[in-house]
Amino acid sequence: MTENLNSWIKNRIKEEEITKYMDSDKDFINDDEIREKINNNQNPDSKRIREIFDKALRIETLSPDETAMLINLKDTDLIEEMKEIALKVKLKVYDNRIVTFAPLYMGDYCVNNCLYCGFRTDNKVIKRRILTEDEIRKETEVLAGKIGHKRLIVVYGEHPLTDVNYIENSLKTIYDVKVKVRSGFGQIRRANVNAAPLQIEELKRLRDVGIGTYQVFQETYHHETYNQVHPKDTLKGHYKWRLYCMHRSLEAGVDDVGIGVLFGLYDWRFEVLAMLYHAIELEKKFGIGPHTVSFPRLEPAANTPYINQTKYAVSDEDFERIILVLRLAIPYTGMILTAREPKHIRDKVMPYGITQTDASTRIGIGAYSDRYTEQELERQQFLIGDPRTLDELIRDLAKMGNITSFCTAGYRCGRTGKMIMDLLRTGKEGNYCKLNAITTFKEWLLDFASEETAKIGNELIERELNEVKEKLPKAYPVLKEYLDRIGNGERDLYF
Amino acid sequence: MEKGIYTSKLKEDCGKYLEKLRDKYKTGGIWICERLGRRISFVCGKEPDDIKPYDKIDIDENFILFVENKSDLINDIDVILLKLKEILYED
Repeated sequence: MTENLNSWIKNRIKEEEITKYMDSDKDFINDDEIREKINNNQNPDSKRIREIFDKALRIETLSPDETAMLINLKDTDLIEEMKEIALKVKLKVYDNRIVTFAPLYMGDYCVNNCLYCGFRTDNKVIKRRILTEDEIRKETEVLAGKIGHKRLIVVYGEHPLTDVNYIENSLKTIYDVKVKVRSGFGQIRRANVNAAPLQIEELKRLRDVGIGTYQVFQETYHHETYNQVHPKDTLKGHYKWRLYCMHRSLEAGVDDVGIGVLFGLYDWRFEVLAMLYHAIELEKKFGIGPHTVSFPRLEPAANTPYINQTKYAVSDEDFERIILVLRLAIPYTGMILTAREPKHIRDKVMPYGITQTDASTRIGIGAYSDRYTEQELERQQFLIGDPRTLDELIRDLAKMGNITSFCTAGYRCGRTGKMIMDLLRTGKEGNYCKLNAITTFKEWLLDFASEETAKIGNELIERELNEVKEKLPKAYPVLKEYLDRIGNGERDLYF
Repeated sequence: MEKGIYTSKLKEDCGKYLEKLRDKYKTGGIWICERLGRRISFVCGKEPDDIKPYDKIDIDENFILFVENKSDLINDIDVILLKLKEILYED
């Protein structure tokens, strides 16, 4: 086994699939330059800050200097103003919808040894296993048939047991599940993937089997820190293989990519700016920026003392700033806030421009369908902070004036890549978001909602319909027709 | 042409042709997507002007033409599809 494992590891990284994208012998993250930008953009005047707000409202990507000014902003009035701008940006691009999803962990085997991760190979207290095909089916039946999710983020460790063949087959299994529910059927319509960096040919296989977004987090963009927390003799120890995986993805035709940082490994200011550099690099090379950005904070994990050793733990106040700055700096991108964060934090930052979140979350392997109801650290990568069910979350969001969307239309009608970038930047996508949020929300209310949530949800739909009638009069009759058809049992109607 | 690998020249040629169709037939948004398994990925073209259902016309098993308003264009569709295939599969 060890020999096979070593051989597998040895053949993973293809240097030519890194160097082909590089303009020089250095990658596009220049640590010194980022540090300089942060240091040189202190104390911006209010006029300049408001110009930056206006630029974000035009849905233009901010420059590193402009972003550094927002990072350094200290004026409390302007910070309050930034919160309003963030919401306006989000509403312009995505309207008042929040997309929900569930994470589905497929296994906890991993060849890497990242100091902060509960799944690291040296951690002997973790109970390791991968889901069988039958178990994947059972998990999906619960997610799609009982909870009512339409969208997953499927998470894989880097290991030959969960290699591209496994990923391909598991996605096929997930898409194959169709469960009869109250008045329609439950099915996963979009499976996003969080996995290790893959090769171009492997990404083409995932593209053909219907991957949604391909998500890989750099964890930290700071070279020195990256090398410290990802041992050099491991696959993940190769900074550039990870850094250029989105380039490979876009070349392979998987044109929805998600980037992210694990906040708490290094200075959050540096990481936010580095994420912007990543977005700018992708825009420059492919005309397509990140479909989503993620900003998880380091959480406790079993037998993993690293969290107590880091000096870069992110406070709640700084976490809010991270979200605000990212919302303005990359205004077109989707922003994912997960149930890692406790309810009070999620409620507070949701209006700062969050577009996607999870609920009814279980991150233990096989935890949706088995007998366990409590979190078990030995079976999880970390602890989650918000245990709300999807029904509860939807009700809370509705009370805040947000409509929950189960829309998965984009990648089934070509609103991907460059097309979606143009639609997002012009604010047109927000109209699709609204219409598809209403149709998919109606489906969910009919098929899964509790009585209380259905009441609040239907009231929200009435308000949304009035808004559509006024703002999108040409679309209104079609929307009404779709809602009637959904009421009669039809499903998956979209704009 | 390998699936999912379209050159900038192909996109440019295809985009120019779609632009002509848009002007001539007043189609509004008109764009081409490639079937990549379950994914329908954008190749080139112009997004719709308005928010309403659009028509899908199969070019072949690999490509789909999306048109916001096909009423004028439909009479010449055979010729248009032939021309699009020619561009899309040009070496």
